[in-house]
Amino acid sequence: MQSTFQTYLQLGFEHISDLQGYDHILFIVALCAIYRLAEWRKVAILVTAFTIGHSVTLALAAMDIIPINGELIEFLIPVTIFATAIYNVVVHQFDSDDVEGTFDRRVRLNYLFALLFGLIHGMGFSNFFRSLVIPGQENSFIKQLFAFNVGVELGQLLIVVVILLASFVAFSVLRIRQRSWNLFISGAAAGISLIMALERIPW
Amino acid sequence: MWMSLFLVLLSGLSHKTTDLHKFHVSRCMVEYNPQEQALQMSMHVFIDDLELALAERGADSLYICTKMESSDAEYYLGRYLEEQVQFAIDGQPVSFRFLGKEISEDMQAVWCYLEVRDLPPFREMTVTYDVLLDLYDDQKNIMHIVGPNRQEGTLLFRKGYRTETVTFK
Repeated sequence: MQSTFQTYLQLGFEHISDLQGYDHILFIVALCAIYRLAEWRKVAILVTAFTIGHSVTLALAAMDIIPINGELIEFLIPVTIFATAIYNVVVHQFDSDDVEGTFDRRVRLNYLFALLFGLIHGMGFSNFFRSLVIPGQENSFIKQLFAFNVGVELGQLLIVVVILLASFVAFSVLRIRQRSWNLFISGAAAGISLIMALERIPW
Repeated sequence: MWMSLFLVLLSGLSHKTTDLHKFHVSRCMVEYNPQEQALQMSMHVFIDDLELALAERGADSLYICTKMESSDAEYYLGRYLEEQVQFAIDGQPVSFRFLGKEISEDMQAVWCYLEVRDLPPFREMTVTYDVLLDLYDDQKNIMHIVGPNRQEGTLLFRKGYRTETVTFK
């Protein structure tokens, strides 16, 4: 029989990687837009910051320690994507067109943003997670929560790998400059997330 | 400091009731009770989805779990569940009884109680859990099972995965 752990892991994985609800995917894509494959260590730090953020609020909200306003969170999620995309374009000035790579010291600010924005996405995850928990099943709750979170991390890892491989193809095969890639991806993310935010204005 | 401020700000804004219900999920607990030799189920289904599914079958205006509830509501609900949830125990189809229902704490869902009686302990169970799967493409049905040997697990049903078989060792 499929274990409770497997099932909730699967639910977490599918939730973040679901193309029907692509807001979390888009956020991770925006986070990774300024990096190339060789900078995977920075991506790892960034993704870890995001993970810490969303794990904290997923757990707190799932355990009813913090209340969740679903509508507000659904609105704030595309706002985090939009802010990340704008940040990429404004702050992330590559030193010159000839030099590739991320040199700007201010770039470290995005670790903090990833953490803070992670808090918002975690509340979104918990909203879904709470609809999956069987009421009166307190003893397996922690297992379900943990499995769901692991599933979310695995899905997130898959998205990071796909976007970094896409950027690798863009740089090495298509010969696109890193700055153009960033503008292209961040621009797309900004456009999509702006529409999404406008559709979800809660007031 | 920064972070706690941020958290307080967010939670301070969270006055509206949470609408958990934009997700299409039903949940079911199934447990074998050796003392009573019965397979007991409690199923949590959202009322608006259920009424939509029943209306599609011609049973509308049921007003489930309200003062205006139609006297036929339980009949249609029971019949729907019998159609949509099926059990075979060690290869033999069994029928369950619809014992009753009650509204959930948040008033959005109904708990349905079902039971298969006079059932000696068994080794294999096949479940079809179709509830609302024809209504929504993204409907998920989660079933937590405690078997005759106390073995536990959770099954996930959705489009394309409507039937599962479990074996208790």
